[in-house]
Amino acid sequence: MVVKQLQKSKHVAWMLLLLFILLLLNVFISLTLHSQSVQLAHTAFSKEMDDLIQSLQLKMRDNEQILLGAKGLYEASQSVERDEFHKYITSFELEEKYPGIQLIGFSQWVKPAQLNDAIKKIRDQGFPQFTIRPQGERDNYSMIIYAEPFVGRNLVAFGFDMFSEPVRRRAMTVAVETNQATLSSKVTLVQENQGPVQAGALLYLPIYKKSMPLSSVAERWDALDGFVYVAFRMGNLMENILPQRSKYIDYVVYAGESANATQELFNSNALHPDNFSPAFTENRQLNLFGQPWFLQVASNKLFERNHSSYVSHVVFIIGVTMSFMLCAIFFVLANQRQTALILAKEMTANVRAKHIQLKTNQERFELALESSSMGIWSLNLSDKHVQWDHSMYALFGMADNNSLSSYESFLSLLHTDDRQRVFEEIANAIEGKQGYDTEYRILWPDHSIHYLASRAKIIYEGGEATSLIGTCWDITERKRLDKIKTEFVSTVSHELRTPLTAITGALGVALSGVLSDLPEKIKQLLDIAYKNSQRLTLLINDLLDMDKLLEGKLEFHCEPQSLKPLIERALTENKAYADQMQVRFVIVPIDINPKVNIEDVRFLQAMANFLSNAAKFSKPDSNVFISLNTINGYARVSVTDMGVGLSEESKLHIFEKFYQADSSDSRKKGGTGLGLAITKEIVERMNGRVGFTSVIGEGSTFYAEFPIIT
Amino acid sequence: MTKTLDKILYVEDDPDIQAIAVMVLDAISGFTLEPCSSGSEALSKAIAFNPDLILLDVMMPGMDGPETLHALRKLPELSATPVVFMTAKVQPQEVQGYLALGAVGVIAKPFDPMTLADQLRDIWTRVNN
Repeated sequence: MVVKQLQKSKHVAWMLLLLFILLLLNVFISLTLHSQSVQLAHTAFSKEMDDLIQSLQLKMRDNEQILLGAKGLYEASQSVERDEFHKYITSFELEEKYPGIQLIGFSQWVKPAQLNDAIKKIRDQGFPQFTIRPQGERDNYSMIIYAEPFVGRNLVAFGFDMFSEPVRRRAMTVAVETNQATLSSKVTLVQENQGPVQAGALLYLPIYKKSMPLSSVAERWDALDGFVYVAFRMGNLMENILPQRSKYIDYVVYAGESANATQELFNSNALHPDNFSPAFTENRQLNLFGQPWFLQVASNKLFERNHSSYVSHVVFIIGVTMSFMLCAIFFVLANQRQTALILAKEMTANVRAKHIQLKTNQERFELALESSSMGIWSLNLSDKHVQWDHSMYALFGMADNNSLSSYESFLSLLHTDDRQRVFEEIANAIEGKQGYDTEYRILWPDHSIHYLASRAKIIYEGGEATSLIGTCWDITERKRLDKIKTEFVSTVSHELRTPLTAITGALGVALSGVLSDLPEKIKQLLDIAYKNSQRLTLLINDLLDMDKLLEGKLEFHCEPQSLKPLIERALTENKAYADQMQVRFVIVPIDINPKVNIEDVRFLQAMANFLSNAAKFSKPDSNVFISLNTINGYARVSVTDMGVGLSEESKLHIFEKFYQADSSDSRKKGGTGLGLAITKEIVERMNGRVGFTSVIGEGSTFYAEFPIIT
Repeated sequence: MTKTLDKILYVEDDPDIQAIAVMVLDAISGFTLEPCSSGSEALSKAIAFNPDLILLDVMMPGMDGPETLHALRKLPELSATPVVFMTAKVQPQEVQGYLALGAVGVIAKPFDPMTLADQLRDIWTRVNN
């Protein structure tokens, strides 16, 4: 029980360890899956951002291409007239194909000396109100003379001197210095005169007068004719040109190299304001036509909804569930296995203990056999092979190395008078007719005769007798003692009887009075002597009977017969004794006549004992009742006296040999103390039973009963 | 009418028993008795005495009862003379054994002297009928 508890707690420990490992593994797998999905999402995010940047760059390049196209136009013509410019720009279908572009224009570079002429020239083209803005004296002037599409708010730009404004001036200066398309920093377009103000930016490309050297910065300044430029509102550019980019990511575009709020060009988040904290954020710097831009990009809700993977969560939950289930299964299995193991261990221990016990028993058995000189033999029934242990050889007076192997050689060792009988007994035992329990004589090699007793058991295999295994022991000494005893008893009985015959005979003749009349006193004495000689005869007869009964030598010739006539005969035969004791035998009316299997002479002997005892222990002038009835299939003959009854002590020993109810009584009543013991033996040998009931001072009932033959 | 039992050859080694038997059979009952003390004595006296019946003790020194019977049977004159054994061994199988040897009756020892003569007459009557 304690072991079981220990084993169980050991199991729980193992199970917990297993659970721990499984959960750990589960966490690891889930984390790996999670990080993979995060990585995937990050890759997706990076791609979104790269796409965004690429789109921006492409868009800017488009702008540059338009400007380069315009430059080509200038270089190809002597002068580009308003119509030509208008046609050129219109060909791009800006509103449809480049919706982010607010305006494409040409800003004429004007030296202060030519300013009035330049203004006058534009006024002459049908714009009498045209003038440069802002007014005032400056070293150089630039003047927007073409602004396409020349409608709506774009009209405000007409005449605006961009060079007068520092941000634009810087970009324009860089454009000339580098002779490259140059993007401005953040500006507020002059067109922002109505509605929400958007951040804007401009891309400039310088146009030079023909046939002038352009290799140095100064030469370029000298040759400068103006700038073609693109103005775009960042809001329009981003929302209209890149709507699909803002689907999954939010971003803020700053002009400059850092996230300077004043330089914010565009904030996509402004359209989706909330307190969302993005999973991914990244900053990127890019350089667009000489202008650094700073991009802050963050994943938005939609992105995360699309890319956040619940697989790891599902895996984790399933994993945890499975871990617990596995552990439960393990626990159950381990318990079952443990139970089986414990059972197996118990059984092993049992078997081991039994083995040890068996071995001990075998050793004891061998010791017992050795000390008892008992031999063991076996006979194989299939090949009649006989096997002996070494004690057997000793019993047959043979050396151990004599190997006896055949059944015939065994039989040849038996006394010739016993050989056939033993052969038949073994045959009967094999056939299962009777057990093998016999005695036989053998002749030793030195020709001395020995008595052996043997018993055997049949060994069956699959219902078939395969061998006979038996024991064998020497009974020569017992036989010798038996013989001596028999001879002694026989001799004693004869030697006692011979003088007794003479005494009884002589006294009988003398008392018969045939020889002469005897004086009364002599007669009385002779009478006593005669009675005692008769008693002595009975005593000797009893002793002989008992001896023979115990030896089992008394043969019984039982046959079915009626009890009633036998009872009547017993009363007749014992009447003389009753008369002598002055009691009357009274038969209780018998209306049944059961048959029992008994020998009449022995039954009468038993009855004589009961009747004489009853008469002996009755008060003078009393009745002894004899009855016959049936109880539970037995016919019971009862003899009831009205005598002294038996003491409690007597009841315990009444059927024992040589027991007399009272030793002092025995003097008075006489008897060998063997009568009831003999009676019990006789009755039991005839398959009957004896018994009694007794009340001290009131009397006793002794009975014998035999199974009724139906 | 059969012959009345008269001449009895009585073989008994114990002199006292022999004396009592002789007294009751000879003096009281009036049989003609030839008592012998051993089997060999009986064999020597038997032919001359020519008994009607032989009463033979079983256990005797020298030749015992059955041996004496066997020897007597070899004498042509006594081959048919009825023999009665006297013995203390009167178990039923023992009695059967004596009868098988050829005895006509068995008288148990100790015998009642007063009924011995009657027992012999009963056997005699039974044999002759």
